[in-house]
Amino acid sequence: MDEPKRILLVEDSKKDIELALEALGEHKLANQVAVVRDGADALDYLFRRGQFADHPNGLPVLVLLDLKMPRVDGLEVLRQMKADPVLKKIPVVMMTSSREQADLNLSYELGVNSYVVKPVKFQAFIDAVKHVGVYWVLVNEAPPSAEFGPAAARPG
Amino acid sequence: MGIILLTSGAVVLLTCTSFFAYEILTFRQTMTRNLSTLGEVIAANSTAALAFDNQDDANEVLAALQAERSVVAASLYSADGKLFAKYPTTMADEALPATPGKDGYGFERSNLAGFQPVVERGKRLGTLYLKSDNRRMHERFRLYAGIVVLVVIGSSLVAYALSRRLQRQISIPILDLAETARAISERHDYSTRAARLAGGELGLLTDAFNQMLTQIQKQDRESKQAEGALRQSEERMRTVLESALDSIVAMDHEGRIVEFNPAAEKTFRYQRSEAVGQLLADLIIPEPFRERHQRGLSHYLATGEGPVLGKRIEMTAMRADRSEFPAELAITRMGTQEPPMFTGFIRDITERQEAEEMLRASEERYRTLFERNPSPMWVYDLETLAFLAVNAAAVRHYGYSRDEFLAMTIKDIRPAEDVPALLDNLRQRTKGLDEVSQWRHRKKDGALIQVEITSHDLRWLGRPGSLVLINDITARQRAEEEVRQLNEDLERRIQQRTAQLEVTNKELESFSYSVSHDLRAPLRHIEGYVELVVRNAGETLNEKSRGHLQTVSESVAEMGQLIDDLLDFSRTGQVEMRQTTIDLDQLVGETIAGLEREIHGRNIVWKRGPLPPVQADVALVKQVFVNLISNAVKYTRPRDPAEVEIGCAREENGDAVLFVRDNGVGFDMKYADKLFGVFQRLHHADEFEGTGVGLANVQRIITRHGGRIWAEAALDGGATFFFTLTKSPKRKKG
Repeated sequence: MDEPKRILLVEDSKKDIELALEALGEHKLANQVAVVRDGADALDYLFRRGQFADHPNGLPVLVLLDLKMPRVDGLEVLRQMKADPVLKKIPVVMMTSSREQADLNLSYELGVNSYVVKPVKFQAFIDAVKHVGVYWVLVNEAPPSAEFGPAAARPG
Repeated sequence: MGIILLTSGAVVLLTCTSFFAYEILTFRQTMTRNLSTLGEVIAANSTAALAFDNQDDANEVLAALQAERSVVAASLYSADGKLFAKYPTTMADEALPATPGKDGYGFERSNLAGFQPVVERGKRLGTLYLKSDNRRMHERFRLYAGIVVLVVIGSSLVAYALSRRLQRQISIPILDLAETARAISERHDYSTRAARLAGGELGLLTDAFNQMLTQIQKQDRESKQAEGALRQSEERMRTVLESALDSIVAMDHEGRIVEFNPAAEKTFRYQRSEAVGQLLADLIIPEPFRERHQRGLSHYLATGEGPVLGKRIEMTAMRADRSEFPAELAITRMGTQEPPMFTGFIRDITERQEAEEMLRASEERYRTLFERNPSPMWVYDLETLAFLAVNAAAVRHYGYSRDEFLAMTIKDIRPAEDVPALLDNLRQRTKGLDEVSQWRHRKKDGALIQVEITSHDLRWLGRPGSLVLINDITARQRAEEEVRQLNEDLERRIQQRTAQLEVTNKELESFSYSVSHDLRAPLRHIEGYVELVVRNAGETLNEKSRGHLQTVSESVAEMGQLIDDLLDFSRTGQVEMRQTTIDLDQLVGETIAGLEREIHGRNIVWKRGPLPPVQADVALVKQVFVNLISNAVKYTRPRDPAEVEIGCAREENGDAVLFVRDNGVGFDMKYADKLFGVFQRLHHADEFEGTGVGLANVQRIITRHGGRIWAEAALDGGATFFFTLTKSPKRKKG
């Protein structure tokens, strides 16, 4: 657990967390996942404040974000991330049960990198997770600044 | 003037000549006397010399003549006639008379010479000869001639000056007078006056002449005026006669025509030359009236009374072709001359009578328009506001009799509180405002009615009036009020409904949003955990348990499908439509291609008729065809071959009636009303899969496009789904 977590999973449903970890485990990614239970925690984690003020992990290379959550929802987390000069470079995949057009439109307006509707079929879900997780974490070359903290990202 | 000069010149010349002659005569006499006196003196002095015969003494005496220069020669003769002495002594003897001549003196040529006897005591001693030259006389003559010339010139000048003056005073005025007279007689210009250039008799003469001219001019002017007036009068008369529209016929006391003007020629169709001299009665009065005419004329001539004279009478007149026409006639007597002459003014009044008849008929028609107008009408006096006329409808409608109306003003048929507004309105009207306006009127029975008034100003029997047309709109207003209230009510209800609908819509939106998230999550979890169980413990479960887990999984999938369909259906009603021109042929082709999985392994005969382009939302119309065609494919599963036909049945009112027909299992038409209900199914799910949302969705899409959808089918006899879409005005390309 000392090595930095490369994926941040933001999800309020314990069941969905378990299923998601199962799915990511299929691709040997489960131990690279940090989990927070809502948007507020996610922001604390990303901005290193509150209970996450000094967590050892660097910034993730991928954020899997549930849309509908208590306190702060996924769209708000996305908005704040994309407004930050460092965090905005981290790819964000919106994971949601919703096929609502309005949510989809707003997510893309805010700059989401991918939008995945959680399928009812578990196998389909595994496929979807594989698709986004493997693509963004294993295949896609992350921007260099994402490996380090926001401070390190600043030039000079 | 020449005469004057000549006369005066002659007079002066004559006078001068006489005077000159006389002068010469007296001068010669004086010279002769002088010479003779000188001779006597010399003779006396030489007596001694002669007597003593002393020549020297004689010469000495003669030498004394030197003192008298006019004496140019002298000689002394002795008694015997011998030359004794001479003067001047140097003179030759031949220049002197050889012997003494006869005593006495006389002029010889230019000299005066003479012989003087020398006598001593009665004894003649000798003769003295004296010769004086005429030089002095000639000098004297030259002097005289000079004087005469001067006198003649001077007197001529004086005469000229005098004659000029005289001429100015006398001749010029007279000549001027003469010139004036000549000018007048030549030009007949009596306004010319002679200038008064002189006083005295000549002035008087000029005055008298001018006075005479004034008199002549006055008479001339008067005569000219009289002549002009006469000519003008005649011209006026002629113009009146010729341009008069009325026929003018003059006749003498016998009834014979003396004047017949062009209008008369036109009216009666006789030439003036034919008419003049004829008896008026024979010419233009029809037979039956002739006698009366003659009688009237005779009566007037006898008594001086003419009932017809100076009046306008209507009669029947006759043209040359003996046709008759109504005429108006006025006869006047011309002047006071005897025997009397008459002038008749005759006017053809055929047209006037026709016009009067037409006017009467027209008046009748318009009176009918007013009187029988179904709307109440009246005319009121704009100043007194009194009714001037009312029609039958007004009497009927208001309940007042005509007399009651005519005794009222328009104020009396209004509620008292409306009168100020009426008066105000009337003031406005005079400023030209005149519109259709609404008023309240009170009928005789007291009922108030609402009226719409249209008015128009006019003159009515010389009074300023207004024609009013009344439209009783009481009933209409009541109806309008009811409609308005109904509308208001409706409006209010619509607002309520709309508000309710909005609330419902909001609820529905949040409901479907919840469904899409919250209903699906448990399903996903069930499915996920079942899958985990199967993966992790699959081996330990018996066949039956694995079968049960399989059923759980299938039910979850079915539930997931139901939720998705339901959400689709709810979104169909909400999604915004974007209408474009759709190429249906292409769209159907794509739809069939997209159903590849369902079609796979099936024997289907496709029939596709040409489809018109339509105006619709392409995504929604695609859903329609996907649903209907996949239904057709599904319900023809038992058929081999299956037949699916897609076409356009007809066009109506700009809509295309499209259909999808199959030869499938069909359905019983008695359930047709359930066909388009949500979750309504006419077949069992284990026979034909489905959620019962598809047709509900199709109907909703067609309805949103303003179209209709219906189905015709028979159990086991196939089904045809008809629907309408708006045809695109644009032709599809290619």
